[in-house]
Amino acid sequence: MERKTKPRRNSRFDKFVSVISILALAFAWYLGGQRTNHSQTQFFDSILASGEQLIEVAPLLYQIVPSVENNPAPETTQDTSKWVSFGTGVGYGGELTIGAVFSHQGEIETIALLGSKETTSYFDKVAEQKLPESLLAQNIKTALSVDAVSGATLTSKAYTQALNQAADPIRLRLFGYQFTEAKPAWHYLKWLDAAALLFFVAAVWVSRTRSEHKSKMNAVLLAGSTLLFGFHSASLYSASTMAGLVSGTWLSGVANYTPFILLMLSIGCILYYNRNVYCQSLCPFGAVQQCLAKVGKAKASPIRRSLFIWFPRFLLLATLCLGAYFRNPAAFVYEPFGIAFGMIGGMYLFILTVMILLTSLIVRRPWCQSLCPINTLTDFVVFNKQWIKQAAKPRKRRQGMAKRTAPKQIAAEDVPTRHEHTGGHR
Amino acid sequence: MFPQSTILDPLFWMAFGALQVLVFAGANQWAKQFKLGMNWWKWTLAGTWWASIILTIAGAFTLLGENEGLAGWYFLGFVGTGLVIAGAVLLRVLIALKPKH
Repeated sequence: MERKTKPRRNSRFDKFVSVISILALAFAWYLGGQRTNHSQTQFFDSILASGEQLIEVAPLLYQIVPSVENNPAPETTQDTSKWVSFGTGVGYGGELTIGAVFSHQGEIETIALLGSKETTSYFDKVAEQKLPESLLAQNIKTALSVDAVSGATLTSKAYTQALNQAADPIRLRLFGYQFTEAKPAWHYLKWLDAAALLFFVAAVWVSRTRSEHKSKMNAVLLAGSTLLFGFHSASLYSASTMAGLVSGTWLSGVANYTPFILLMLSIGCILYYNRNVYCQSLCPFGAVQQCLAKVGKAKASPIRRSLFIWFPRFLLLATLCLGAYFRNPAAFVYEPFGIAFGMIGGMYLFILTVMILLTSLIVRRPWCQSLCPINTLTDFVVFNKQWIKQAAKPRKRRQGMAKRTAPKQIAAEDVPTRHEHTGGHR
Repeated sequence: MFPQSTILDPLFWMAFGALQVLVFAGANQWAKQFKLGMNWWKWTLAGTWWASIILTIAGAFTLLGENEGLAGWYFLGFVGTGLVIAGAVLLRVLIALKPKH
């Protein structure tokens, strides 16, 4: 009997949208590069009084001195002039850049935030607790330190680190020593990153095993992951992590690489197995939703309507584009993880989280079904992988269709395989 | 509650207190209808849960009234959500422990 069901080919519309998405992201990145950053100029304007001028002593190190017409003896004022310097610190979401003014005795007079790739909610918390103000008037003779804001420890440290870095060249000139040492990239890797790797390997193994205890093992993995990557460190990856990966903020350093590691492992897994084991075996928020579904005997959600497929795609693309344009991926977040696991985030995220948690009692995994960007990522990677595979073997398929030989092979090429296999895809 | 009146405030709270009698009377009827086999500790749990809900709402709106809007909404959201989930758990426990006739 002749096979009548043809393997589903990727539609032209889907291909068009896929290409447009990549182009839109590239265009947003390009436009972002055209934006002029006036923050340093504005900072200089704000710190200079009339009759003063700025002299560049070294790269990113300046002195404020009276202008020539107001200063008949410049050599006498050199010792009493103020210093201006810049520094960066690595926070949870990325770098913080600050500019600071120091007195000739080494006291901090002014601090200004010039650029931030830090997660907005964390930085807002630091600003609300007036951490920058508490650093003012401290003398740079000793290493600058301040009590970290609870719930935003990494951001507090990043801010202090940036100020210490800015102070170092002035310390060297005024007191003859400095504190900051250049840290290699691996300095930011922690035991949690190794745990992420182990958990992911275990998740892949559990997804492939045929053991009768598979569901129990999966439950143990989910519980461990929820405790470790959820409540302990809130290291779930999200749209802002994806934006960070695309924008390359992780190259200049982030305080927590775990979400990036989990994301990259997930992409690798999707490419190899056409599925994302993270959602089923590791996602802490998925585990929370599953527990709530058990409590409320939640029903499976209705059929995935096209709105629930296309809206998260549009949302993720918009987030990635905005992150690329403003060169600040951490500023555009719409995930409920911060509120759920760390009680950190704005009011709109708080309302979203409460709604999702309450809905989880009635509908199974509402976040995963409606807004989660991970489904979109999986769909995108699988779709393009299949497209490339189809494009790479068009002639072979046509020959196969003509000869009607080896139909199983044709199907295997066209349909994403989720069965066990000994060989690789390549 | 009623800043412009001296009599409405106590009247309101008296009515609210009286309403609690109806709430527990209704809960008792409901428990009988579903044959939950309520005893002293089950009633203690249910009463504690209900009192927590009432106090959470009262606390949150007190904060809102004190111009602590953010704290009020966060309190209502975090504690209220926790209590709704706890209520669902309590219901499951009560149903699971129904006496088998």
